[in-house]
Amino acid sequence: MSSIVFQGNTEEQIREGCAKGDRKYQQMLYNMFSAKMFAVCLRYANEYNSAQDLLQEGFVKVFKNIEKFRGEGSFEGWVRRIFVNTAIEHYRKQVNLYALHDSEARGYEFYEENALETLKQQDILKIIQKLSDGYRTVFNLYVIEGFSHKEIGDMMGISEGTSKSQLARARYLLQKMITESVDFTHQSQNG
Amino acid sequence: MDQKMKNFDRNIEQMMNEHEVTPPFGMWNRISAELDKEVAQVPVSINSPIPQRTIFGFIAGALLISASMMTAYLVNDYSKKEKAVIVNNVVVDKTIKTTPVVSETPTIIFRENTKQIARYSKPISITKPVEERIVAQAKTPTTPVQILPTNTEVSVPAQFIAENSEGSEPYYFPAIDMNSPKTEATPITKAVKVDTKNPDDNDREISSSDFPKIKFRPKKHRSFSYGKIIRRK
Repeated sequence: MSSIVFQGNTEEQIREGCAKGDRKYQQMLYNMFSAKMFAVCLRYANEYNSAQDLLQEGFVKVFKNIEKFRGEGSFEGWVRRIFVNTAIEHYRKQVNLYALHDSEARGYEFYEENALETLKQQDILKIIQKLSDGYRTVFNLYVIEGFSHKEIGDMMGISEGTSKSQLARARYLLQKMITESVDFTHQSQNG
Repeated sequence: MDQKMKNFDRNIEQMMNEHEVTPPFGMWNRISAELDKEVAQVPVSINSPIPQRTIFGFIAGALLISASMMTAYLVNDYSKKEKAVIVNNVVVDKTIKTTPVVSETPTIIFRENTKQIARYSKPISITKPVEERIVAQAKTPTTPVQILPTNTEVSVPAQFIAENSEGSEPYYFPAIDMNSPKTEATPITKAVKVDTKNPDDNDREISSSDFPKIKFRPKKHRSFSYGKIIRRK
């Protein structure tokens, strides 16, 4: 396993320094993962300030539990999993599950595959944040993090079928909003 | 339709995984402050076992004190019951356990015996020293016995004390209350002591020894009766 070198220190040295509580190494670890983890927090949060709270809570958990990392797998994946779990715990009680219609389960009919290419990452992130907490969390866990519906159901305390229906509903709303935003950009460019 | 969904998911996944957003500038300061709070809270809970020990010590001490007080209360209550059974009529001292009880018990026995002595053994305890004294006086020729003829009401023995006294008036014996146990009890004990050591110091013994009609005193008690009732036919 190749070790990442950051500011003249290896990843192991940074981990050991963080385990001792050295604030210098903790800041190094923060600088290593803060941008990636903040993007994760923004995906799970519905607004910017909530993402900041998630980032703070996640890093505190990382520094407190860094001794538990046994070197199995990548350290970045371990840190990312902590942030995902923090987001799930944060929105677990706030998840609002809606009933699913048949038309939503089939997907948005007017969606074009090339529509994503016209949008930037920040635009997609804003669209994801417009989803409700339940839809957004299930969509992030299934599509981006790669969890199965069974795992999502265990993590969120819902059934597997509910996770599937939530994902379908989230996908339908995202396609619809992406199509609307693409149409809006085309109209603004042409007009 | 499924392939369309898979492509949509894959595209979003790639865009989101590659996406990085720099957090605001003061974010590290917030995290550092939160870590300082955590570090400040840890010593209170983990690194300070002394308050827990003191708490356990207080609890243990309170339990010991309460247990000792409970046992003391139970022992005291049990001893009170025992005292009430054994020393029921003793009023003098209840608090002292060993020595005062020993010192007081003879007094209780003493009273009972004095009553018995006063009733039955009074002639024995008094008359014996009197007889011995009469013999002793007969042997000593220094003090002759004289009877005063002027006093007709009370027979007054001739005493050497009355003779030795400077006054010319006759000596009268003080009245003796036979019903009071104290006046009878004390002379008996003193009379025993006087007989062994110095019989001349006790006035009561002297008075009883010189009384010529001392034999009538027990007869007064024994021979008193209301008389026989003679019924007429």
